[in-house]
Amino acid sequence: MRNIMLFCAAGMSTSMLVERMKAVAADQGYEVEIAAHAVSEAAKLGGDADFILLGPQVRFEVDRVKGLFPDKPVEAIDTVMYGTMNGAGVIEHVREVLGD
Amino acid sequence: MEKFQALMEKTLVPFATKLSNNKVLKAISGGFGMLLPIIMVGAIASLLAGLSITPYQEFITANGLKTVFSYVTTYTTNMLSLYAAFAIGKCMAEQLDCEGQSSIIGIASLFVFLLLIPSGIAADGTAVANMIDMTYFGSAGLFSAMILGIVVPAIYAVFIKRNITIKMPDGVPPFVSKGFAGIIPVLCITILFVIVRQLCALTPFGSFDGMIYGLLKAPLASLSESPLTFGLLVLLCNLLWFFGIHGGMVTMPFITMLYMPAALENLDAFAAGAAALPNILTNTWWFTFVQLGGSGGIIGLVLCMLFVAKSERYKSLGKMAIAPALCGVSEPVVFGMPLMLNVMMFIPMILTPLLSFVLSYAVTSIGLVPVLNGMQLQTGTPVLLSGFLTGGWRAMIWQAVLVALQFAIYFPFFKMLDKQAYADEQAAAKEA
Repeated sequence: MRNIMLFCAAGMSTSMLVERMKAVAADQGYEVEIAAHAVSEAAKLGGDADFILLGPQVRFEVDRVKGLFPDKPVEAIDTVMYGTMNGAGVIEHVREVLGD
Repeated sequence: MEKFQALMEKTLVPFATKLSNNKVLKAISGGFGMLLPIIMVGAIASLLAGLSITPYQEFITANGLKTVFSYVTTYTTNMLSLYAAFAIGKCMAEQLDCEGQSSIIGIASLFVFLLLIPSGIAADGTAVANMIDMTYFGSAGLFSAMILGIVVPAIYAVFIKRNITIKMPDGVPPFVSKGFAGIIPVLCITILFVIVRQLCALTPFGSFDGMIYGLLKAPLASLSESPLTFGLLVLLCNLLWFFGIHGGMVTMPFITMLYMPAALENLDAFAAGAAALPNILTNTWWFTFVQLGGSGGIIGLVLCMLFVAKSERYKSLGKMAIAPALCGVSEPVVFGMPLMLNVMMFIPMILTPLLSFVLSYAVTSIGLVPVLNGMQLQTGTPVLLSGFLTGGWRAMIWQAVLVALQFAIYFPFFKMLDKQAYADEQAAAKEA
């Protein structure tokens, strides 16, 4: 069971993407837990994640979060994928990086 | 243009990082975040007490509910600075890497906040036993609470970092030794602030809170009451969003610091049934009027997509973006249209919130739209409902007018983009 965490300012707009990613993962039979939170909680919650994604609007936090979890993949979501709420694209990218 | 973008990215991203990682700003906005439930309950109670419908007022006065609403307001809104002193102190402790002791440090901040308020004297100066003047528990004490919530943890942290504590022998449970560890810092902080209190009593202000309020209120108020300050924050927020950076997150600590006390003052006055509320510019004003639909004020733009778009691209984006836009979430449009780095959309994206701001200020000044009551809404409260709750039906109608204004500003720019997208789609269809 993989755990993907998305962070943005308040966890609102990322939660929309989470819903789409969940639907895609369910279709693919990919066992994964996906959740969205406020980036201020990254330090507290990020420890449980296998993959940390940040909304592109808070990409200036990427370095800080990377510093908190140097051994985890921490990335800003691609702006086009984010804008079109492309859950499939993000899941595909996550699977590729994690080798699932 | 590309060079310009690279330059902006190079300067804006570190700027945003710096602002949003500033420990003091983070502690203040984090602290206020913790207070949200208290603020909300206070706002609901004020709203229920102050709703100016005569039969309703007669009803709640007759059955005593009015008293209940007003004492709930007293212990929430009117004592907010007490809670703020603790919450900001605790958040500041976390910012200073003292997570383990953040609650003790929060309590120390609250203690110092109380310590600096003269006891045994009523607000009018007469001596009354067992009396603590509550004047500064409410919005008047917010600045002291912020200052102490920052300064006390900063002093405390020095003791922790220098390891100046009572050392317990090994084997003492950590729970016990933690309590003892706090004695020396709290004792030293007490001595320091007792001296501060005594010195402040010698000044014409009479007390620490009186001094802070007297010294800071005027310059901060002239800063926050100036529409120019507000306008600049609006501009900065949307400029950052144009580069795809969450401008709200960067500017929010300033808005909270400068405009939340103003909102709470309004709420106090509203609950007390005042005919005129004191402050036009409040933090709720930002969400209620300036940026309907989130950054760029994009509800009107999404309506363009839904009703005038010819291209499939914008039609489908419109369908996806309308629900979040109504709740003030603009990311699908910012990144999906995109507005980000879209030179064609720069003018409307900057102009719409600014014009909404100027016009809303004007109509409020002449009294067409009421001054908002200062109720703090949950982020994501849909448009129209947010207007109704904070300013009644006239504010709600004004929101509808603003959406029409957004539509009108975005329309010509949107037409150009849509025409291009439609032509591209036609060409692609022909090829296929």
